[in-house]
Amino acid sequence: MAIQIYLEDVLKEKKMTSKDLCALINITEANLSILRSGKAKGVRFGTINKICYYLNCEIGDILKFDGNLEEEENESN
Amino acid sequence: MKPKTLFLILSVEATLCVFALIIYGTLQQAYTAIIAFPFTQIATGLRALSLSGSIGNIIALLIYVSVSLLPAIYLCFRMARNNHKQEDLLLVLLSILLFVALYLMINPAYMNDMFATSDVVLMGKISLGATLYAIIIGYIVFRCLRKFVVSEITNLLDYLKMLLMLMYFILIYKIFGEGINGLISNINTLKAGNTEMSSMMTTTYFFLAIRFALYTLQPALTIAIIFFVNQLIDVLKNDRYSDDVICKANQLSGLCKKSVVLMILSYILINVSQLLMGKYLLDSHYTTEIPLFSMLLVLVVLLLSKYFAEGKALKNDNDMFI
Repeated sequence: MAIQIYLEDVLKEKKMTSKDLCALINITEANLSILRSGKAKGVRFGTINKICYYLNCEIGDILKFDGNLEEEENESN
Repeated sequence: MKPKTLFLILSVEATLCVFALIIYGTLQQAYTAIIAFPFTQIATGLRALSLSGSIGNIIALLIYVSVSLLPAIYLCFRMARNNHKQEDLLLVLLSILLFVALYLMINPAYMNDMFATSDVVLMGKISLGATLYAIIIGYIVFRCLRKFVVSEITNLLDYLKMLLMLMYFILIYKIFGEGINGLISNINTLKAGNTEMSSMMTTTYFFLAIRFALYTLQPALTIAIIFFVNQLIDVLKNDRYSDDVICKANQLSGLCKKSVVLMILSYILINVSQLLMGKYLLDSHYTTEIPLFSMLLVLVVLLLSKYFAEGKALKNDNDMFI
């Protein structure tokens, strides 16, 4: 995926478990797992807002662009 | 409702239809007996009570006024709860008509100036009974429509199941009431026109039975379709985005298509058979029908299947948005 998810790293840095984060931002662990694994097709602004608020981080700490277009990445794979 | 229970209830209805035909001879006579019930019986009771003496007359008058005012009293009850709507005006009309209808049924001599037919009393009872039921049914329908508009999806699905249950009863009546009535009528007409029994009569009776079977084919197939629709409604209530919904919808569309094909083939078969056997038939009836309603049903069900599949795909997509 062209947009890389670094949520795992931020959780370790902030010393918070995914279970605690789920309880704070009010999503299920299954959904958070989809996000962490990079299988999510999108993230709502509201969810990003809550994650950044409770982890006290920037959007760029969680989401990074790897420089490719998603179609091209799929072709090269 | 369990299929066995449904089958039992519909069997009882079918039996009652046949009994009604046996007792009354024709559907028209059965209709005549039923349409004025219970108004005729109430009127007969009130007349007997009124003629029994002065106290009986007073009691009869009180019962007459009470029964006639029942719809108006119900309207007052709804107004007191600030729950009345436009359709409640029909309750006023119903009360007025009850006053008139019961009075005329108690004193049938006053019907003489109302109708031009020979049997004025019978015509009067049928007319008054039919009009009263038309108003009652109209009021119930308006109330139902109002309830439908404000209901949630789950409740709407329940109401749909109730209406489909009514459809079962109507279709059973079509088969065992109208169908058998038509068959008996055709047999009697054939007998009246042909007094001697011959091989042609036997062949004609056979084709009358075939035509009866053809007549009952469409309602029978509709019953099967309604059964599948009920199953679809059950899975929709459970989870409208499940694979079961798409599966049931596809099964239903398949059944609808098969029913159209079966009906068309039956029409062709009976017409060709009668054409070939024309020399031996005293009575024949050719069917040329476009099964428009059935085709519309196929299209609607196919569209619904596709909408359900699209809805599920959209939900799956939406679930991937965190």
